[in-house]
Amino acid sequence: MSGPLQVGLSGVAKRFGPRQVLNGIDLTIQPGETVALIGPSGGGKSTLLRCINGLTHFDAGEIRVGPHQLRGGRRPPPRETVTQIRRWFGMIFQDFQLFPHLTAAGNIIEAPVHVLGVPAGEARQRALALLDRVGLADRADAYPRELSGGQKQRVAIARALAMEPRGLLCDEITSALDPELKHEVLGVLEDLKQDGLALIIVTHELGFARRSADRIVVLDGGKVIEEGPPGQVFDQPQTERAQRFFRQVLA
Amino acid sequence: MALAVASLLAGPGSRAAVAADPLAPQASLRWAADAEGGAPYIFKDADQPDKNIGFEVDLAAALAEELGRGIDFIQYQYGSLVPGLQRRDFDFAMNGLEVTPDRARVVRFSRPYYVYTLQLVVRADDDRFQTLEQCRTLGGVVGTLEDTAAERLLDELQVAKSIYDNQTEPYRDLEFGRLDAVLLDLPIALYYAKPNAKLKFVGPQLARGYYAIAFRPEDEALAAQVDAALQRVADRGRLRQIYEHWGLWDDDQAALFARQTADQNHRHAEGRWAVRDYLPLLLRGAWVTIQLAVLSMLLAVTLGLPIALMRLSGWWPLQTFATVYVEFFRGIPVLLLLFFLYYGLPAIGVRYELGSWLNLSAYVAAVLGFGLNYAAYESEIYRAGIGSIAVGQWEAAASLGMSRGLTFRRIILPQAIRVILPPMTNDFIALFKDTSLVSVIALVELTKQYQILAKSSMRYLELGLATALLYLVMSVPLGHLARHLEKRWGKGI
Repeated sequence: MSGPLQVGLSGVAKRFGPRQVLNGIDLTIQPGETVALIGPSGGGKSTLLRCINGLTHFDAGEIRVGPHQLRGGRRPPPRETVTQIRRWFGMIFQDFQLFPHLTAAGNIIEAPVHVLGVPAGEARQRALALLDRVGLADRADAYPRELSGGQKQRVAIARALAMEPRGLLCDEITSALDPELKHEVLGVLEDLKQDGLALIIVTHELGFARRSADRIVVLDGGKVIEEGPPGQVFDQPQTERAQRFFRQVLA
Repeated sequence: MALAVASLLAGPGSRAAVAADPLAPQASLRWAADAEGGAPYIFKDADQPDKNIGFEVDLAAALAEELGRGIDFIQYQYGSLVPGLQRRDFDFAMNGLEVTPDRARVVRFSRPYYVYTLQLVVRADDDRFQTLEQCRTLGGVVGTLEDTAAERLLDELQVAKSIYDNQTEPYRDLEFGRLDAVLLDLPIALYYAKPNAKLKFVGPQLARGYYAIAFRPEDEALAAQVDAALQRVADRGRLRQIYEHWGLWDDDQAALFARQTADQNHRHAEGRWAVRDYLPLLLRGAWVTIQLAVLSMLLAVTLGLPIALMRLSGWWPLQTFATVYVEFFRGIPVLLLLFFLYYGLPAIGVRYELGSWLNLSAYVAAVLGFGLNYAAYESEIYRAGIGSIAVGQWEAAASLGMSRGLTFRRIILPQAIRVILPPMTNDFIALFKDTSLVSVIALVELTKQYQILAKSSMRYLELGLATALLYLVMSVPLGHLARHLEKRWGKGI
């Protein structure tokens, strides 16, 4: 995990049918920075995250991840570039997407063994260490259906970490969890931040965002409407739309 | 799989592929006829169901003696004898083939060995019809065999007809009132209708004609040898002996004697059939069924996956190809496909001089036909199974750096198997039963074996139950296996 992970977006636009989901996003994320993307539903937060690691191809603009560059347009990006970016950034999904036919450890060693060619025994040792790190050392041989939501999400984080990324893209990763389970997952994220991983987090947990994020970005209508340190964005929002959003969620 | 196919090439249906020179004097001649309900020409002996009897069997034995070489019998669908001769599945056909101008154009007929007439038969209590003319004016429906002199006579006289592919069912249907009359060759009428008190002969004997042995035109030398042998068999009185034995000697007194013989034979046929007599034959048929079903399914499952992947590929040329494949093979009857592969391909090979590799053996044609047909269904099952896995699984794997191929192999397919397996097992079970269609290309599997035995013995019920039991023995364990695998592979989901 060496080298600077700087992410830069300029003029990123994406349309789904008649709906302009992203409408010219400019954003720079410094190495090791934790950024929370917040805003009303349908504001383009998840789409932006998916554009960064190539799951969604955008129409215009460009995204730079370290030395790699994705360009919007008709042509899909070169597969090689997308693969490289995915090695830099792991991704965690709202609905976990663990592989149901594999155990927790099986989920974690799958990609290291078959993509990186790590020997199975070594991969398993590392998987156990990662499970220990997310507090699930005893669940290595459990299948996903035997795990609670919070446990599943922690396995998903361990699975992403097994590829040794320099950052994680987290797409509303606590939204599907019961309130009392959210803290186990958020706790893991705080640890990862301490370890220097860059985190780009789409979240509705404003308390967590204020506490842990270095920077808050508010997205609405496909545009960045507010951006800055948590104290500034939460306490003195500049735009009327951001003020209205905070009134609604904090009410 | 390749090995299995190779071993099948040596199977009974493959003789076409290894046709011996019929003129080599030491080699046995291969004689084709249809023993299915074929009395009194050739049919199964009630006492020894693996043995054929009939006046043509006796005649073949006499000819073999005269020629000084063996004659081996090959079971062949009556309606396919002429095309089978052309594709060199055997050396000659002797099975009550009437000499007609149409046939004489494509085969070399021997000198006639029997003078046949046609006999009209009606229900004993029905006095409406005495002649075919009356059948026509009163609108009676007359049953007969496909592609025979009787059928052509009915067409000529514009009598309503119902066509059968065997000679027992017309009389049965007549008895049950589904037909008003049956017009068939006298030997058939003597054997099947005369002993039946519910039926009666009416009118004169019609449309005198000849039965002769069919050879390929290019086998003139062999045909000439057999002509001479027939002459000698007749000269020695052996032919008369045989015909008298079967009640076919064609004069009034011989005919009186004939009826008794036929009566005896018929009663005889309904005689003692024991399980141990017919079970080995049914098992042999069942083994053919298993081979066909397993190999066809292997082919279908192997072929279906790439077709499903092409359809899911998102690249239009592949998608179009796969869609056309599926619609085509799903849309045409497999029966048609079998006919095309077995009889059509050799014709193409002859016309365009492509050699004999297109002369697929019956086994290969059957496996190919069912394999191609079922591959269309299996590919749709694959497609549904693959489509049932959430897009998020693809994305999760992609975000871990897994390629599409790796994702498919390691993540998608293992989950899809669980969805794919039950309908695929259903298809496999259905295939076991569908293989009964192969009788049209001269393969004897379980259902065909049942038909042959049942028509020879008249024991439709017992043999039917035994056959059904064999099918169940094959299909029920399959259902269990599927459920077991579903459980095992479904672990964790």
